[in-house]
Amino acid sequence: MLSKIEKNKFTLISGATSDIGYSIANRLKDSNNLIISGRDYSQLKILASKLKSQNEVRLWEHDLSDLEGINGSLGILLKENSIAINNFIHVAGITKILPIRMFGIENYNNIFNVNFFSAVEIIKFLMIKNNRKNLNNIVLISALFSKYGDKGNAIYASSKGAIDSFVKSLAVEIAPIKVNSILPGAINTKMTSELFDSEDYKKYFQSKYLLGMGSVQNISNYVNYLIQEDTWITGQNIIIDGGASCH
Amino acid sequence: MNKLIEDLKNILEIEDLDLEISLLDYDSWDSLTRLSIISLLEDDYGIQIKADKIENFKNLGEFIDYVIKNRKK
Repeated sequence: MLSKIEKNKFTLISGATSDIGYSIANRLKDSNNLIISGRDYSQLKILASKLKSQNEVRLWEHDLSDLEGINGSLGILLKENSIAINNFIHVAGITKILPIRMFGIENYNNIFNVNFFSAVEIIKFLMIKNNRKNLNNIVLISALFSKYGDKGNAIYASSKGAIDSFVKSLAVEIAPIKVNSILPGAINTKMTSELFDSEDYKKYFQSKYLLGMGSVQNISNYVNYLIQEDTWITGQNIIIDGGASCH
Repeated sequence: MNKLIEDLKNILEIEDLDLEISLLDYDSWDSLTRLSIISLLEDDYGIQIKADKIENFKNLGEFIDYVIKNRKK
């Protein structure tokens, strides 16, 4: 296990304390050193101890809505530890569902900053000359909502739509570094639990989701696949949704 | 209290609030309106509230009292 990993190469997971983030960290830990990132240092510490990884786990505490601070903060982390990032998995994301006329400027800026622009800032840093020679894969977690609309969702969906378009051009620009997004369908997580609790949604899911509702493992297994060296996939928006969007 | 009244008028899209009637009786009441109220309470008043609790207030007056009493901001 350890012999395959270069000691100073790390996979960065933003939003690691989310349910999908934890599942990805758990799935990747056996073959990767990890940098787990989130807003809350104590949550990151709990996550690190829960993972019980045989490999290295470092913590990067940063509120991703602070875009200006990303470059410096990440730079310090890498320098202090003498490490490099070979994979970046962007899981951080916030959602807010409101009728469009109620969406305040600060509200939608925040959603776009965390969901999209923070990934841009991290990638800018990773593409600096000394950093990019280590970089192999970028995976961004988008959402099925980016392709299929729902009321109240226009802002969240467009922040994820930004990811999907970004992936295509970036894949061309930085090949052979692989760049892909994953669009999960409905999965029960902390973020969605209240939303999906309504009777309307439960009925909808039963008819729509041919394979039933998804689990976080459905996503993390695929993230692991995407970052393998012999995976011949880049510039793709990959839908993982139990059949919801095929009809 | 004035801000709350104005915010509710904005969400419900109505000139005058009738404090005696339930939120569900307002023409504009639907799942999105309900979400707007949840969002308002969370962002501006620091109150976490579930969807079904909002619909169980006897009338708008009781709802307003609840917000004023439980506000953390």
